[in-house]
Amino acid sequence: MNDSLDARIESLATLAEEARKEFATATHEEQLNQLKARYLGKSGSLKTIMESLKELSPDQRPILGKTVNQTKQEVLQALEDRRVQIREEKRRQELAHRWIDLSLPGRQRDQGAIHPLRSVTRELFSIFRSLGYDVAEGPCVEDDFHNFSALNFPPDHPARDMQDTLLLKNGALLRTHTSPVQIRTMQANRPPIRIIAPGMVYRCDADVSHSPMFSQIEGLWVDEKVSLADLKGTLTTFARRYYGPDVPIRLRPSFFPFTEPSCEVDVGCVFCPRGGSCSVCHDTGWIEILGAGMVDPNVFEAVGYDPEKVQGFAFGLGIERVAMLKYGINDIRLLFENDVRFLRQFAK
Amino acid sequence: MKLSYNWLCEHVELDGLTPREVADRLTLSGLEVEAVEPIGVEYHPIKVGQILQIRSHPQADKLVLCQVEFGSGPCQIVCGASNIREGDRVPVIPAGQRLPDGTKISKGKIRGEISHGMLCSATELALPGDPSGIMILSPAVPVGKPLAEVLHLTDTVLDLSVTPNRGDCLSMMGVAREVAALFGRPRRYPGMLAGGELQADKGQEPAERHARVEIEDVQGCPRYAAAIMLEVTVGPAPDWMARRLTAVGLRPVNNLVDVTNYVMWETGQPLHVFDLERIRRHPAEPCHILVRSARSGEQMESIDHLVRTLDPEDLVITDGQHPIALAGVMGGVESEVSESTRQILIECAHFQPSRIRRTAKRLGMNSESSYRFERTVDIEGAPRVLARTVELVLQTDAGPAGRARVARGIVDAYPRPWRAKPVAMRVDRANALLGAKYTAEEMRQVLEGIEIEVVESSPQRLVTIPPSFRPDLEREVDLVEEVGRLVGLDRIEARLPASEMGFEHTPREGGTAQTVVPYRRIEQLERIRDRLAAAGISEAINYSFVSPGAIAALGYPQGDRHGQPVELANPLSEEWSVLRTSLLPGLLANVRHNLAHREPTIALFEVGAVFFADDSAGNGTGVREEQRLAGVLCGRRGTAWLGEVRDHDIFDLKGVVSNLLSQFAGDPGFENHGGAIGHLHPGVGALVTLAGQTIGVIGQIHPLVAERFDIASPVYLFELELDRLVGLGESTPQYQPFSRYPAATRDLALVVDHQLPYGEVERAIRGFANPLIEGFVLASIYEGEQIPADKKCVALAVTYRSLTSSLTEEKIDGIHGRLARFLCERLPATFR
Ligand SMILES: [Zn+2]
Repeated sequence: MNDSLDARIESLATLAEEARKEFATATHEEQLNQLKARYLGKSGSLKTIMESLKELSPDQRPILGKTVNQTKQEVLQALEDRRVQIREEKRRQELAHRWIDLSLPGRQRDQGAIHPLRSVTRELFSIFRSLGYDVAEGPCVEDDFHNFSALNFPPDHPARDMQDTLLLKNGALLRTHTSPVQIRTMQANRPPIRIIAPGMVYRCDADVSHSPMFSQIEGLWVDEKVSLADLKGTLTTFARRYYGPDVPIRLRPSFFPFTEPSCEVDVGCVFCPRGGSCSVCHDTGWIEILGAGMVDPNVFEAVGYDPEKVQGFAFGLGIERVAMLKYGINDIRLLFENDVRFLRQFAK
Repeated sequence: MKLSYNWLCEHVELDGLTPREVADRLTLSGLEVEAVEPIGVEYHPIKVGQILQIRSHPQADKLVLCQVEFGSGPCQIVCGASNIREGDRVPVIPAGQRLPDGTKISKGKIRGEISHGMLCSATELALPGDPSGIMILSPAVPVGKPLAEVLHLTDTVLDLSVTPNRGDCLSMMGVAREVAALFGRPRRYPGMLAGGELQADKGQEPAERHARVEIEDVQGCPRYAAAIMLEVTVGPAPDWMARRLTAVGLRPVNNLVDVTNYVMWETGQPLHVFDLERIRRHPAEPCHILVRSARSGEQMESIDHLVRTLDPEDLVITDGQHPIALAGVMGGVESEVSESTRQILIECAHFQPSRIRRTAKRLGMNSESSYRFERTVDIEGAPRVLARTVELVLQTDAGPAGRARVARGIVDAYPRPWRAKPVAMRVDRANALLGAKYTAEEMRQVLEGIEIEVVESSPQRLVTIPPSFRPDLEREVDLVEEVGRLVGLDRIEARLPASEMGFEHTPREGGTAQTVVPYRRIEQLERIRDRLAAAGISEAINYSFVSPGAIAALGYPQGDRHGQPVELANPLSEEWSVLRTSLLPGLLANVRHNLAHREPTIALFEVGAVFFADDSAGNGTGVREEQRLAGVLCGRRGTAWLGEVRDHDIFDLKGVVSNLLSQFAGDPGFENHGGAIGHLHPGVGALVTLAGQTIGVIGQIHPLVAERFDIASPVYLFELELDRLVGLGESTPQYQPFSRYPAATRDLALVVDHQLPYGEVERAIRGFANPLIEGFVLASIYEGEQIPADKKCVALAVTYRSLTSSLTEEKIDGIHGRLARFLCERLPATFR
């Protein structure tokens, strides 16, 4: 009798195995439905085994009954798994016939460009803002006091030749540098002062490397103990953040009427190609990018600060030069021609 | 200023250094060397050769065959000259090399005889000398040596950019002083520059017998010294002098002019030579040099043959009555030296820098002389400079030896002698400015290195006497700068200034207008830029100046401040002669430029200042500046391959502007301008309002205005007053609760008067003010069939939704019906 139970359990296992194999070969849902009827239907194989239940002894019936139910569940699960497989396969085949050529251009409005001079200014803003500077602005039309006298340019001094001035018929002038903003800021505020002042400036000059209007950014830090060493540190930080962590700077003594000591500031050339000569720095390894110095005591006196009590540094940088180097622009006039073929190159 | 390295070596010992090393060190000490240029490299191939043997050419009567040794064994050279002898030393150029003028000498046969090079004439070498035959060299020159070396033809020219404060470095002596200090090398003083009395001939009359100097304008001329020479003979200067002058960019003229230039280059002191006989009013009497201010309207013909009308500002040298030179600027033609000049007065003076500068500028007569006077020359140097000049005039005199004579002594009017002014420097102050820790002793050494006398020295303080050639050293800080640059700015340690957190600028009591810009404003502006760029519009930057025509072309009405631009006094051109009152002239010029380059899509914006004459502007300049934001759209937009290309239209522009304004507080309004804005199309333009203020305009450029800018395509533009815009503040979104119940939409087609602005429809729906109306969108505006000619059909979709319940169909229909009736009455309108 036990043989009979074991044999039936055995045959159930075989049946489940067989069903799984057959399901796997089915390729359509109709086939699956037929197989379902064959195994699980009213006259299906499982039903037949179930019906033989009564041939067993009462204590064996529950054992076989349980096994039959388990087998039924297994077969059903296998069937449904296969059904999902078949459906997904069918969808896949359908989808495989539909494709869109994504090398085609997307529907996109042209991206406009922020002017390269403005992009550079923004970058400088964020560097100096992180160093605690405020932004200050002053007028483009200036008077002699703010543009020259207060900045220690004596009348009839050759230093004025450094800046060919565009004059207005009413006696005012177009500022030749952003330094008048230093004066206006000190006139408006008590020390300490810590500003950068961007803006357009004007000179009586026009060729490949000179534009009658160009942009500068001026920096000024005035406090009790700010020294040339601090200037060097500030500009070193600027150079590292703007040009890269290992880029050095070099101060060369120079002359500006409104600073003393004055210096030109070079940064290590980041354009030098490996081996081969560099057209940017002419193989000197240095690029001149800004002028700087300690604020001249005469400037403090002009704004009513006591030069014995405050000291500070100022620096000025030409945005065009930085932008032209950065983007490889060789003619300054391109920056003001507003040719869309030029501007579009800076869209991002 | 250009400087010859060979010449510099006469003023400072530079053994073992290269021009490059000297240049680099000068650059790092503040005398920027802009270029280091070797000269005479073209002479490198030329060697000194010796003619060993001369034979006749078998094929040609006029040619000879020379055996020449020039360093690599005797070889044959064919030559056509007749002035050569066996044993002569001559310049040889080997075959395969190029002459200084670039001509290549090829190896080959001349009439059947091989020639390994060429013997050169002076002309072929571009050297002075007899042009007719081969150049014969001194028998002392070593055979095989480069010619350039034996004739000193090579040199290095350093091009110095001297800052305006360093007039002392516009001379060999000044640069030599710096170099000597930087390298610790001894200076050298050629000839009379070492000091000593004028080399006058015994028995000569004193200079006073020939010239009397009187200074009327002592302010303008604190010193006037002169030397007198007789029986000089004018001729060309010797080669060595001409070569040096050429190297530094001066043109050799004759020995007198050249010597003055040479000495000016050596000492920085400009000199002038007068023909003494032409300035003496009476032959028997000394000439009378009177230095005075010019009389108004006085005239003088300068040596460039222009008649100059003078001004009392100008300082003149006169012969007692008439001007004979414009002091420090240029000589007069009447007293100019010529080939026949025999007697000369050499002027060595000191003039007030600002006077010279004004005159040179006013008359447009910048010269090497005025350039130096403007930057101040050494007032104490006169006797030494005159001694050197006289020495060189004697050396270069073209007459028989011993004929030229020198009067005894100099005439020297020096009414205001230079006085040494001590300048003190506190050691701790210097260190505080430099951020350094130099000792008093270090500072003293550095200052003494450039010949500044230190008269008092303690660990706390140095007292110095700056020399007469450094009038720029007047204050403590001037000395600090010298210490900083000579010790080397590279020795200063970099450090970041200590800064406190949360630093804010504090306005001064009674201070002027604030310059510090709130950071929020900067961010707002940047956001505007980003939004416009994201809308496909690129940022332009135009010059602040435009042509008056461009402003007139915009057709502002009479009396409008936009039509009255501020004028430049010295514009670079008519195109840039007035300050812009609008950003449009620039942007329209950009449109024209891009259309001319067949650019299909033009979308530009600009942020910038415009300018108006306004004496009440309160900034002392009489000009008010306002910030504007403007943009232009022109040409096509869209994606071609999707069939979506179309021309820009006014609604592209309005979309951009609406989007832009949405970040500011207040609802924007667009009111048809009805022709009020002259440069806008009368039917396509509106005034833009925000929070009740007019902040600008949008529209299509008036086709007639466009024509004036040579633009044939429609251009859509906006121009906004940025100051008003950012003054309005930003909009902050306020959360509105939204419904969880379903919405229902009903269509609404209203036939209204053709002239009725759609905005009225919107306003009317809002006026209905039913809280169940969630929103509405415009579906279409239809004109044409089935609509009367003077009407249009406005089709809308209205959405209804309640916050608190589901709405029944009946309820919705009820409200919708009431809305429709309300609108019909209010607008008025009819249904369709
Ligand atoms: Zn480089």
